[in-house]
Amino acid sequence: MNFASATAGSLHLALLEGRGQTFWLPEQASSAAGGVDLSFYIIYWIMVFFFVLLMGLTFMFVVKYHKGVHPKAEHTPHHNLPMELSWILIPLALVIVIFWYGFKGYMHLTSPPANAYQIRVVGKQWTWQFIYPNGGISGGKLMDEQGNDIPESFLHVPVDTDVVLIMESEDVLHSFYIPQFRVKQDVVPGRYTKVWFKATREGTYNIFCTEYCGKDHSSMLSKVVVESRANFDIYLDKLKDRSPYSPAENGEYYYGVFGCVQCHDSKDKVTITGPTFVDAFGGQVSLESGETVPMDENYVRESILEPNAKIHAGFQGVMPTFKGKIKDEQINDIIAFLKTISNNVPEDVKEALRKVPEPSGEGAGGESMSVEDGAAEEGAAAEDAAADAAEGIQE
Amino acid sequence: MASTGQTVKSILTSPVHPEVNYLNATKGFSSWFFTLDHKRIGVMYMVSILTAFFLGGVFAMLIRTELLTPGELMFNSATYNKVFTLHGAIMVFLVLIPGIPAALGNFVLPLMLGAKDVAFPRLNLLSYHLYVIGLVMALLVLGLGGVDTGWTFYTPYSINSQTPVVLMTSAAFILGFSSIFTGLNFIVTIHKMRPPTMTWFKMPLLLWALYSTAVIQLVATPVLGITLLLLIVERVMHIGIFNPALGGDPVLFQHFFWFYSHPAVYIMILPAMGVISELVSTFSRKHIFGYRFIAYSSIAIAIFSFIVWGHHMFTSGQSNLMNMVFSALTFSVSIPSAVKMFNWLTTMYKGSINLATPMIYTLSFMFIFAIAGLTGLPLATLATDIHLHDTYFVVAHFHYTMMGSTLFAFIAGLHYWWPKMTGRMYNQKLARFAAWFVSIGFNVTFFSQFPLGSLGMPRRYHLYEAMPDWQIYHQISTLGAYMQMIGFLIAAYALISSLSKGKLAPRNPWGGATLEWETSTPPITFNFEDTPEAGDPYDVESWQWSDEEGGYVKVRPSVADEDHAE
Amino acid sequence: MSHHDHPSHVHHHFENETQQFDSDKMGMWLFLVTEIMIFAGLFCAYVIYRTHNPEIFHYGHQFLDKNMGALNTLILLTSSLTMAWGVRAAQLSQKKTLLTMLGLTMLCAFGFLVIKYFEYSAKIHHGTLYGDRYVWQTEEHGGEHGAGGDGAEMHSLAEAAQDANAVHQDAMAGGAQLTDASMKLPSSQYAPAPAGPEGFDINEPAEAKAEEATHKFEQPAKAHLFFSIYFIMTGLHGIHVVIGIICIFVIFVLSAKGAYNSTYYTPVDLVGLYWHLVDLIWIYLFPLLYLVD
Repeated sequence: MNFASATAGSLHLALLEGRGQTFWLPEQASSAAGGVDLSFYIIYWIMVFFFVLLMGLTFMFVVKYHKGVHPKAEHTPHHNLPMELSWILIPLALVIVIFWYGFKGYMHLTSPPANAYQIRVVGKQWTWQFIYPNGGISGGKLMDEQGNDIPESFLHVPVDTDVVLIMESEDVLHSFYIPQFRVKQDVVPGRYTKVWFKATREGTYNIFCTEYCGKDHSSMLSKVVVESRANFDIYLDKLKDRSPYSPAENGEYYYGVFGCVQCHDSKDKVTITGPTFVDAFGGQVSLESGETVPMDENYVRESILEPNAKIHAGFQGVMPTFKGKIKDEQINDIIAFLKTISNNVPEDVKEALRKVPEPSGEGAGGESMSVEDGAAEEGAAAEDAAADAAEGIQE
Repeated sequence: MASTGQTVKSILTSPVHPEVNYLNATKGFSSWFFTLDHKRIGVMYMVSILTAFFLGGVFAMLIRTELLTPGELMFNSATYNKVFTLHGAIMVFLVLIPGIPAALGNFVLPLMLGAKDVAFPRLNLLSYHLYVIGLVMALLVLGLGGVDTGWTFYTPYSINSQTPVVLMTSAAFILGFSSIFTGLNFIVTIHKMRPPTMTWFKMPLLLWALYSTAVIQLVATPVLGITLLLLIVERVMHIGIFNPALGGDPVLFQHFFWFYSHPAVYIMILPAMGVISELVSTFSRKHIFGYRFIAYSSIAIAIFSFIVWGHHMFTSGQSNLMNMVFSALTFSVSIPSAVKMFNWLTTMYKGSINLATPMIYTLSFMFIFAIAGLTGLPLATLATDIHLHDTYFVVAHFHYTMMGSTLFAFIAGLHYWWPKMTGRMYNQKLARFAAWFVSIGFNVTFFSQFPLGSLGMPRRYHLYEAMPDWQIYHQISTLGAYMQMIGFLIAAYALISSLSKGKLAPRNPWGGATLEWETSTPPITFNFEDTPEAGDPYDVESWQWSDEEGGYVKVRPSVADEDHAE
Repeated sequence: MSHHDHPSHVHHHFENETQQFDSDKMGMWLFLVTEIMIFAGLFCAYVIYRTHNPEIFHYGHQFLDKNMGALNTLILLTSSLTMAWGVRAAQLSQKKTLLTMLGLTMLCAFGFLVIKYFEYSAKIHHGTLYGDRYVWQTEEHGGEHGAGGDGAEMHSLAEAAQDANAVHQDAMAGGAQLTDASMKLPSSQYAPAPAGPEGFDINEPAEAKAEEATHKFEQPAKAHLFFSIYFIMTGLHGIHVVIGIICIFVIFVLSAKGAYNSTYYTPVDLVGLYWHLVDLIWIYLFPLLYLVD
């Protein structure tokens, strides 16, 4: 790491902030970055050496033996075995050394410590979703209307902790890349892949999708927030406990987290990939089959769990099912949110949904029951998981 | 000019400018489109490929212009994706792969052998017709709105995409067979139609390169064929082999695809190296240095090319063992490439270097190929590749290889054989100016993409609003792209205007010692009046400059000097 | 221009007919190399799937009729013999023998296709088809013979996959430690959904055999992939047989017109080479698909 920084510092006119950033490479924010950069710069100087050698000779020959100054070619031998062997064997030795360095660094990059802290990552067109050991989920909208970051949606990891991401894809290939960590791993549908790192510097870094995945590939971004263990724990708790929020707020949150927002507009009444939900709830939906059905709770629920059962006229059945991924109370919250953005729903109903329910659970009848049931079960599971995780982290 | 004062006398007796040549022997569309003459097929290939190159270039300009700003400038992401897919697919399947073998190779290969034609002229014509069908299908795809899968057609996105993927893959499938037939033809021609005096080690190095290329075309392309066929079947019949939703393995597609497409890179670069081997010797007025090593290195590259495909998949989740093996094997390719580079350099040593237009491109090729090869090192190295994979570093690297090297060699060859093909000399000053413009523009365009990539910019990104710092690199790159465009247009003007305004070309304007320079300019329909004697193809001293002729004349039979005979 | 006295079948650019014959023959061999590479891709896919999922091959192959496969092997071997005999006849200018042998070869090829037709239609009937068209079910796997078009089947299969995926994801939640083994999804997840376009007829012999078969092995997930591979490999081979028939027919007609004799028989020889390759590929396909155990 120091070698890289030193050479870079002395030889490049780049902005140096003492963070390992050079003209060629971004800042170093993980334990692996130093080793990778060292390999890079070793190869870099080998490249520079050979390039200067080859092009220096070429230039010299052109100048010295140009037709104008050297009208008659001289007779020189047509082959020379020692010379041929030297430019076979010297590069060969060099590439063996390079290979070995690269391989060692690679083994470090791909061997996660046994007790690394585990976070699940789900890639889907075109969002990243992060699922923490306590069941909390982040993802969804990265920016508010003013263009400010919404850090709650980002991936949060504790600093100086081994973290392994268990990644899966719901649709096509993606690739998870954090330049400052020097890690990258494809996310493949039908199997799990993992990537690990130990973030060494608190801060916020970009996450990119580097495997082409369709229309909004270049917008499939997120950020990773590296923070202290204490702040991370606070974040996890906040992520887990949705009770301080109203059904409509929670609905909007899940609307983002589950990626509905990618294909269904909820603001401007425009068609993206799927139909808009503005002023939709409580109205009628014409189906591909020619029928018309009311857009009610049952229709929304069915469309989330079995998207191809009743396809909206004019759209293709491209929506994946969320069966088994989404919980009933989360569907209820999404329905609540859809109600609040529809003018087919009476104002007083909307008002009620915008209120944070009383902790006693009197207000919303059946719905709140299922929320509480789910929450109780989950709470128990989460405690176990948190305990597991804590053990892992103490290592 | 290397005029010696005394008159130089040619030992060749056939007329330099016969009244009837292959261009004017017969007239009319069908006399061309259904010709069996390898030279006419080569010329038609040349025209078609340059048309495709123009089309691909337009898409390149659109991409570069769009990337001037981090946000949306001209079109939305869906359109951008189609533009880069078409750019890639057209450039790879319609320009780079057929480029040198089908256009230059078809014209030159039988001439270099002193043969009347390739072994199977009808198959050769069929190969061209398949190319035209592929081109038309690609245009049809364009008319239908284009595809958005990337030229790599990775599953499962290519299974789900709503664009005409089947048509595009069918086009690539057909182009694959066009390529196979060319390769098959060349292998048989080289094996069976060499004149008795031309032993394997008296063959011009371009033929060694075309032979190695043909082997790859023949062995690797069918695998692409079956892969694309499976993809088509997957889309039409849902067989599930590559579809994870049906239990299939999407990564298997990548293995199949790169088993062809990595060797395909050598289908592009090997003939380019062959062209450069010819040009370096001719324009340095020197015998090529290390003939056997260059020949063997072509074969070595062809063999190695089949065992390195896994380096495209270092981040795909394949096992560490496989990554290790593929990384080690990948380095093996660097050795024969280095061998060629050093041999070309040594050929120039103590020569008399003529900086004519083809040589400018040749020198640019060497400059660019050095960068292309060297930047392959951090990509073959596992630890650094993880960071660089699928970033602009890779984009820059493969443009240096595929465009900077292959295409520059193609353009160099075009300028080299143009007088023989058309019978006219182009304006040297103008063409040389264009060459400098293109070369500098190229480096401006793509060098800036190296730091862009190593700083983390992923490839195939339409928007980069998250990283406004990257804009300056894109702007430099776009500036270079415009320079290239201007350069190419000037080069095109220089060449096209030579057809009407150019001076009559001599038999041998550059002094190459290979057999194609012994025939008339342009050649007669059956190539040679008398079957020429094959000597040492790099005995450039057997040709000497004649002011009277305005070109080189053959003063004695080319012989292998004792130094070369082993 | 120095022109040799060429026989009519020797093209101008060849020195003599030996050169032309050698070139043609080499060209054909190289073409066969590309054919082999095409099938090699499929054999690779076969090997990879068989290595990762041996159970689907053990299960799936029982649905193939070994007797029909063996008969077809015999037929193709016979046709190779007649083809070779035909080439010999052409070399010896025995026109009548040549025509007989080419006719027999075509007859064998047709016989092969007819048998293949019966095999395919049985599979279509039982729904043991490729990919999402695989709707075979056993009694243990639920008896509802729900109606369902292609779309519905495809949907249900994908859905089943996602269900299983989701279940597994739930199991994963809560920070369960992952071993390398669990990096692969459980095999149950791609189990085809119980749905079939028509009820099956127990009285049919092939059906009964398959029924018996399903008792020997539990139906594995991804069983449909065996049939995908089966149909792709035998289908592509079948296309080659059809092309072979066309080629043989062409030389049959030409030899009836007396185009071939001991001085010129190249096309017969080349078609013969092609036909032997088609046979050879079947020789590999038969044990790999029908005789898995």
